[in-house]
Amino acid sequence: MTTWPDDLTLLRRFEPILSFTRGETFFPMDVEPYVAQSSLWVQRHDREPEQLAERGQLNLERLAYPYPDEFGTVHYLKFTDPLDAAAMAAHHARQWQQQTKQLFHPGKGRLARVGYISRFVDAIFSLTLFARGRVPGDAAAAAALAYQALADQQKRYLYHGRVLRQSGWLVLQYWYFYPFNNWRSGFSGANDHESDWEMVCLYLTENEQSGTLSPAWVAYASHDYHGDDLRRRWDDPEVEKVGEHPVVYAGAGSHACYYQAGEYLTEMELAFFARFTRLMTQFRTFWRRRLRQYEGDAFGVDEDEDSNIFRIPFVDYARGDGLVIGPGQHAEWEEPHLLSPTPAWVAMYRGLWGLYTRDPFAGEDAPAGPMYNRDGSVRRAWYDPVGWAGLDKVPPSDELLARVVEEKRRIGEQQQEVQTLVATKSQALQSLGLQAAAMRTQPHLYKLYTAHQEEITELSQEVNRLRAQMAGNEALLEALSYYADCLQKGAEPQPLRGHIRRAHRPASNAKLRASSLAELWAAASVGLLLLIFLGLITIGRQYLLLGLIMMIALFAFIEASFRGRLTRFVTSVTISNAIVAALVLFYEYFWQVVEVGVLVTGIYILWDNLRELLRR
Amino acid sequence: MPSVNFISKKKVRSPRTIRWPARVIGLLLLLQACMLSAISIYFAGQIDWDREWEDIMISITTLDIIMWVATIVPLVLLLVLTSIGFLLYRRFAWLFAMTLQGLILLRCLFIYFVNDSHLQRSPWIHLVMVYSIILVLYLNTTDIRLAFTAQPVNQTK
Repeated sequence: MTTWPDDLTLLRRFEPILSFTRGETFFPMDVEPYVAQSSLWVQRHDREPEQLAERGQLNLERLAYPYPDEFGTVHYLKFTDPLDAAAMAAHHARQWQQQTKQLFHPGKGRLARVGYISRFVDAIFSLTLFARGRVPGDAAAAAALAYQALADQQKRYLYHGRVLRQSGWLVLQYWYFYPFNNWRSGFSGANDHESDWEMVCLYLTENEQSGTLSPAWVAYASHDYHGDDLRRRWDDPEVEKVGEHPVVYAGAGSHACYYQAGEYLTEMELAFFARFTRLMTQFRTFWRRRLRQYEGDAFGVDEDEDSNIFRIPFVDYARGDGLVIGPGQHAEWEEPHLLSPTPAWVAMYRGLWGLYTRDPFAGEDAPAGPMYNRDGSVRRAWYDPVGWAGLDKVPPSDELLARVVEEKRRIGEQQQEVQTLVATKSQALQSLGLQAAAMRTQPHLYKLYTAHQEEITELSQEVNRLRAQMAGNEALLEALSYYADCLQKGAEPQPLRGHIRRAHRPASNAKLRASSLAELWAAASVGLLLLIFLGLITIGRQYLLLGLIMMIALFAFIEASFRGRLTRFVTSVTISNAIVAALVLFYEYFWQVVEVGVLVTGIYILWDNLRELLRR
Repeated sequence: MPSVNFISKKKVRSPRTIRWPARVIGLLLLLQACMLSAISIYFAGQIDWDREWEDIMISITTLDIIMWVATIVPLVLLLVLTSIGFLLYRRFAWLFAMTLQGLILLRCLFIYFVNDSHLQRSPWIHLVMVYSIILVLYLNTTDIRLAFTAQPVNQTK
């Protein structure tokens, strides 16, 4: 019997290295000082928030108390209070003094990387921030001050770890707690919120015979990505490693985890636009796949296959040029806190870990703990970490060959059963056929003959289905044999990234090479369009439609030029013109078109039939 | 572990491999230039210049014809250049041809939807539209489009 290392040793052996972007303010920390610094509140439906525990009175033990309440109640922590003017000024002065090496420099703007309508939707989204709930403007500064005060007392970089076994996999979960997510206020991202939980999962296989543990897969939590797209094979070159420690690039402010350093374009989809997005996707599929437009284009079909004009673009900077935490790096991890067995504060506290802003999009509300979603339901990453990364359909690699052989045996047995069944049913079918043939010339047996015919039809369909199943099984057995052969030879027949449908890649150099003029255009175009529109309705209302068409065409032309898609633009516009012109002609010459159509069809049929006749 | 890659690359033809279609398009564009010139001359011939000189205000039809000729003449010149581009198998020719067809159709649609003169219902304008639609269809056939727009793939032996 092999003795496996204890959870703590396991976690430390494979603990990831976290690489941050220069300018990052918040780093993974222990939850205990955060909770001690926070106050606990409750928000009941249609009532003012009520404080349950004051700052300094709260600890992890008290957080784990049960808080029974009515439906729709939200419990939440509050890490900071609004800053007064003096504190705010002191913070900015301190920042100004420190602004040298640690300052963040934004790259090419997110707006220059996406299309015009996306920028328009983004402008509307920004305006909604005034109307919906959001984290106050000084919250990030207040959180930075509070975090700094905690760090001055004791600077510790710490993660919370969990070890569990599921479906033959040994799962190591690394949970990172950040006191604040300042993606919006610090890095022009989508949202700000108090507290942030991020997670990295390692999936290991345990070999009982050799007593070895081998990492097979990793999965990094990143925004709305889930399932197969999240995970990478351990031997994937995309997964950077230092010894046995995978390297994780954390997004600036958002703390989302990435496999490679770079600037990631993250698109947020609003539920309101879901119908438009679906329609757009259908149209694009038709345009590209059926009509084969843009084939062989400089951009190709895949370059922006998943991007959609109704999504709001944000850039997540995961450059990895800042602090690196991990074994042998700028800073080392402290001994992690174990989440297995589940501590009471994880299991019992279902509230939010920071300010509850009542944002309808929920982006500005703080997240719940590692175990729960914001609505109090259990996170899938907690109760089913294997399924969360889409690994539930993948057996552990050391069991793979045995499982393939077993599957082959099972299908083989099934095939034999089907073969026997086909033989029996075929015989019965032939008997029925014989009986029907005998009855065919006997008028008095008409009813019986009809019933036989129905039975023959049914049985024939069943035999046909069974034969199709046999053919399918045969093909499956061949595929399983090939798969088993490959595995025996030590070759993995699956492509390294065959499971990934929508990989998140950093923006390519070509995309980042937007000129300053393009940047300026991206920043000014939405406002400019609105101003021209205002001018049109004020000065030349009689030319409104014409003016709008001209303006949109001009903007689209400029946009296409900046984005290097002039060919696409010209093709699309010309084809659209041709379609409209064809409709005009059809309307103007309806009967002539019908006459010509019938004439041409008639002549063609006549010619085709005569040609066949003359060939005889 | 080594992995098997099943992805293959599609072969794209170069403009030279479709010599005949390229020549045909070149000739069709020349023919279109001739047709547009002929129609413009025909329209210009319909203007009663004596009456126009006598009237204080120029008539809408005359104005439309002048505008038509003014916009079509540069397009005709570009059509001739583009047809030469096709005859010499130049990659730029396809984009130019598509742009010109788009502009010609736009001009015709503008007359149809916006203008108020008798040009709006002129069968000659409709003929120009039909010819352009046919050219757009031909230019947009996969082989021709790929030959002129696809990025050349570096072939390794």
